[in-house]
Amino acid sequence: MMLQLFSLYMTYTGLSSFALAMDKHHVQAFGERVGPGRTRWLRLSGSILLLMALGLWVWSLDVAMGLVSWLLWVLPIMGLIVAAGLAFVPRFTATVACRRP
Amino acid sequence: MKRTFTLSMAWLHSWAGLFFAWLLFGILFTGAIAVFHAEVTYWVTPEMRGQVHDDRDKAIEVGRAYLEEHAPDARLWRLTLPSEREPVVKVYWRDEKGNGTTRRLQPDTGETIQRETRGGGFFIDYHYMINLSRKDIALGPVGLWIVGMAGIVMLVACISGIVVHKRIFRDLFLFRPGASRHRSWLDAHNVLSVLPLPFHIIIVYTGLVTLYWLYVPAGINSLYAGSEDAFRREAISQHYVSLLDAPPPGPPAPMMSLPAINRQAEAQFGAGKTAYLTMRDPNRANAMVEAFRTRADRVTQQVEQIAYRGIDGRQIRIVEHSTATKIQSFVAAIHFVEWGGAVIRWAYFLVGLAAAAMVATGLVVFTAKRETKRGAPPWLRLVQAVNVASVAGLCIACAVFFWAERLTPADLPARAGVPVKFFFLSWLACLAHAALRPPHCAWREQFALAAFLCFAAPMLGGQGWLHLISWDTTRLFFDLTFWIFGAVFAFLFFKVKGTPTRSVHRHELVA
Repeated sequence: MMLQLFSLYMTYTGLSSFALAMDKHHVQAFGERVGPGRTRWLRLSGSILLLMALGLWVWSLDVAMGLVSWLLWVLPIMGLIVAAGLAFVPRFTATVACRRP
Repeated sequence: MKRTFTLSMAWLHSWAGLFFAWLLFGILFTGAIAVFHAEVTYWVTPEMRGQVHDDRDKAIEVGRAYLEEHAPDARLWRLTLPSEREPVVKVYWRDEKGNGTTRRLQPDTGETIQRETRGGGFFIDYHYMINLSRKDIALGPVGLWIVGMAGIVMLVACISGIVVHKRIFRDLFLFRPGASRHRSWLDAHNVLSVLPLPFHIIIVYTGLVTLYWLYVPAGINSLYAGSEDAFRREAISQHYVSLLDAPPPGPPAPMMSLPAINRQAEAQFGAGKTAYLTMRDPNRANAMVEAFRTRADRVTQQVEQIAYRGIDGRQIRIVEHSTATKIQSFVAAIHFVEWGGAVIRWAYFLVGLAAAAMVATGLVVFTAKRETKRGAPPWLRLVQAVNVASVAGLCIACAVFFWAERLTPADLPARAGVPVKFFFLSWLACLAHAALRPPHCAWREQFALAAFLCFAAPMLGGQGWLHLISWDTTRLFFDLTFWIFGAVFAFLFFKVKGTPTRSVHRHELVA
């Protein structure tokens, strides 16, 4: 249960890193455009976080159930939370994902 | 054909989407509720108690005693054992003419639960056949065809939507609630469609696979001379015999003790893993008892089943399914989610609601795009009215269903159909209201009503506080979900108030 919650959180941080790597969302959250170096760093850390989240989820369930449930439910639900968060409380969304300007 | 491929796809997406979205919203919304069908039935039946009942022998005896007394001449009995989700004994029997009756009994005392209800079953029936049973219409399974067609169109809309939406990855998280009306609803539509796209496609596909043989009847008509049973024997199980074709019942002969047969079955399934027993020609010389395994821990719809001879309990066979059936039943099980427990059910519920919201936002985009500065085409008024009724009206109808379940007396004769009548009548009333009122007012007023119905539903019949006192977590979660829905509808009520924004204002000025 704890592992799965942790994996959910990492999916959230990974997806919000990807979102923040885009100019529009970076402006929403921090009021400034994202530089090329920061984009690269956000994308890299985002991919690592997503891979770790997937790995943890698959490990805590089993391979078939884990892969399917992560792709079909964890990813979209967390993605919708990130999208809604960036729209209504952008700074807070970034803070929860441990991202500072 | 339009000028370019993208334009053709855009045309297809908006027009096929529009007409079928009116149906699809209801199908997806009730489908999301139907994920919790057992919990719905439990919530609408206050007589059902939450304790898990472990004495399975007693439960079987209770069910058999009831059937012996009330249906001695039935051709088929079915006895469903109490489970965690539905802690009652369910007995079902079918008479000579094929009419079925279901009763629910308390597993410990054998007391009959008076209250007749379709409960969560109604949402399932609406979801896959808009409540048009095959028995009601001579033409065939019309409801299933309509829903199947809507499913195919949803697949088409998913794929044409991918073509139309050129910035899938760049706009993955983009939602701008403050932008113009058309823009912000289009953002919402995109976010709700793209992120859960794998789910949307798979849920439609698996839904279509569950009833694959119905969509092209020509196959069964030409290869099996129109006999669905012959097809089933070849495709599903060679031992399949429908009740109508079964040989006449043999002479009376007492049947063996059912708990003993069930213990034999559970020795193979695992302890406590029998879901239900069926008895063909009970208490006859040719009686056959079949035990069916639970679906709760396997991703399959065609469960293992073992057949026993009724008079002495000798095992006749373990029913084998063909490989094709096993694959089909795995795919179908992905759709039915009887497996996986509460977490998976919540996930399906949430993403299913996202699919319904995708359809609803799509409808709003359709109208918002056509309400331009120069005014709107005259037929748009009609579209707007049907939009309101098919989205907000359906939510009201669902809430009214729960109200009717709470307020209809438990001992009313033919009670099960009453909430269903209220469902459709309230939906019709919503359509009339939406046709008479200007669109913004219709949206607002119907969302306000939906919010009120949802906020009040848990308190009806003095139930709400009882759940808190008895700490009945299933019913408490249900109540809480009602309040969250109420809050969402209230939010939409206030949101729509602010939206006669620039574009609409201008159009009103010109008009």
